[in-house]
Amino acid sequence: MGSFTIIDGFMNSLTLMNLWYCFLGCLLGTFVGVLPGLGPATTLSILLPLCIYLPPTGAIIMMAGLYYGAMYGGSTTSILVNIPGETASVITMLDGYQMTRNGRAGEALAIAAIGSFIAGIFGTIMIAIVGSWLAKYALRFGPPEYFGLIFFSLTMLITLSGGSLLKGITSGLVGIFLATVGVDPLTGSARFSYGIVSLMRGIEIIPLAVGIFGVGEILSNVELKVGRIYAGKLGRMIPRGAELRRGIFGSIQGTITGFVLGILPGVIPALTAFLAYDIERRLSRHPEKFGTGLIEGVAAPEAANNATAMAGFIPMVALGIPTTPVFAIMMATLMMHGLQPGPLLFQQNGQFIWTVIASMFIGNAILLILNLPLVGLWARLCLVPFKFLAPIVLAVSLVGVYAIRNTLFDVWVTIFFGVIGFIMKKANWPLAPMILGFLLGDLLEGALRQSLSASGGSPLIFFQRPISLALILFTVAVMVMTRFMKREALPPEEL
Amino acid sequence: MKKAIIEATILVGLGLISIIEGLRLGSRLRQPGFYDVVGPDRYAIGIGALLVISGIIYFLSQLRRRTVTNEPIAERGNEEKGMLFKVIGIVGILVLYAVLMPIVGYLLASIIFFLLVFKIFGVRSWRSNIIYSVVITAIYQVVFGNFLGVILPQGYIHITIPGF
Repeated sequence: MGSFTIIDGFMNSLTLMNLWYCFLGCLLGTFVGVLPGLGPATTLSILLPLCIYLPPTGAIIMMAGLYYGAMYGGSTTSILVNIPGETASVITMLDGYQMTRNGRAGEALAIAAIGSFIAGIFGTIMIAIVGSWLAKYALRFGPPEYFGLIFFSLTMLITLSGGSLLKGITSGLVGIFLATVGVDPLTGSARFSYGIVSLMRGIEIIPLAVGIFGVGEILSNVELKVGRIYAGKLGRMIPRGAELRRGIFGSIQGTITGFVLGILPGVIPALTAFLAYDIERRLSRHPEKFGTGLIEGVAAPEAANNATAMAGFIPMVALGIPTTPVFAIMMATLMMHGLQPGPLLFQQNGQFIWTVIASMFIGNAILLILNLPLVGLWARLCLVPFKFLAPIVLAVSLVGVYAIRNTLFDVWVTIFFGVIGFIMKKANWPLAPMILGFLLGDLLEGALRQSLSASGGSPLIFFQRPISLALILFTVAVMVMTRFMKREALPPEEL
Repeated sequence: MKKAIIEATILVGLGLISIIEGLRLGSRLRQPGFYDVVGPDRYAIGIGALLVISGIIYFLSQLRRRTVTNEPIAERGNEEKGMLFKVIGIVGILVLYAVLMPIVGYLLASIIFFLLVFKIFGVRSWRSNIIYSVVITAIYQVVFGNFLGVILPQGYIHITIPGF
């Protein structure tokens, strides 16, 4: 993999047609990512028939642009109206929406774009330099290691609990419970379906998140008689000075977290976004301020989800293993054009691979150039009177969740959890742990059951594998330290 | 205290539902040769047990807190009484929207939805209301239905508009 080939890649990707495909992918991806419900996988599958007519290089360039465009686009509605554009943007809402309510929507959107750019460039460099070597590390993760990772991720429940640890853990447990609804993937048994076909399909994360956060927030704002999301003079559009520094450091942390974990099959951008947020909070001198509108609370998860999006290319290209449904669709596109992803792809089609890698550099730059000037326009959305904004947001949300599976069941789920979200907010129960528990639920169950089945029921398997043991010990240490620090900070009646 | 009782009851109730479902599955699945040590049944029972325990702990912690401080737990302030009825009204309109969509189709259901919800949000003029509702619905149809190719519910009363 020498520098001669990457220069060829740049020469090929700077042709007019490839630049056009790249631009189109980024534009469509950003637009689609903004709409709740239409995630990258759905949109890629809609575009797949078009790719038959495009040359293979153009098809992959456009799909790649669409994917990381969607990763960025999802943050726009998360930040502006507290509705996640796609799963990976759920955690961005915690501080992003608060920044909007503080008149700093422009800075939030700008740092999301900058963080995504940093992650994209870093990811592309890593793909070019150490792609296949990193892919081999991913293969060392089996079910016990995944369990260790999920176990560590559960410590985020502490972070997201706010004032009451018990409420946070309980909310997380409810999320894990909700994840069990539907057909069990290992045995095919239906749980909590009660003969209803819609329930057999389970609950999707987007209707749940849009309901809990989006619809719930709108109902809360109605009760509080909110006239506008923000009713003052808008602040700066681009962060500067100390704010920008904190945002960039947060982006770097998020990039590393998102990339290192994103290579692992099954690790979705939403999970790495949550982890990056948690790590940023733990590293912060003022962890108690997270959730009130800190710029690093937006930068870290946004960089992480984009880094994970980039990292997923490595197993697909180097080993022929798609880590998420999006990469399965991209692999299908490659195979439609007679290209077989795997170790031989670099040797037999080096020019194609380097063109795609070079176009990722260009695509990330296009994304930044496309979105930074639009930040001011998007930010003004929060000044729109709530009586006009809320109905539009409600309708977009419901159509968006309908579009996921073309079933009204998801619309009902959104409305139901919208009411639940409103009640939980009124009763001071944290919402984010429920979403985290739901996200982790399937992964946790799969890893636990596969590990114990492999060991014949012995839990020692988690302690016999070095990576799994290290993760579990690290988790226990972090929980003890966090609890110790929390006990020192809280008054007695809060414990 | 009433709030804490309701919350704890919900948690314990969810836990019991999970345990009962786990037991039901177990009686069906646990045959000789079933390979999954944990299985969907025991996992559900485990989660259910944790929910029951957390519900009980939560109730006891609220009881202890009330005993220690002897004060009701602070509620959110700044709500306007009467706005709760507006919230209920909006939920009702959302439910109506979901009910109407498969019957009259997306277009008509959306127009009705916007007419009602703009009214409840305070758009007083019916003329403005109708214009907003029709224009916004048309935009949604173009974006979702035509451009993105989302198959929106047509309903039993199918409305055909040329070009859409």
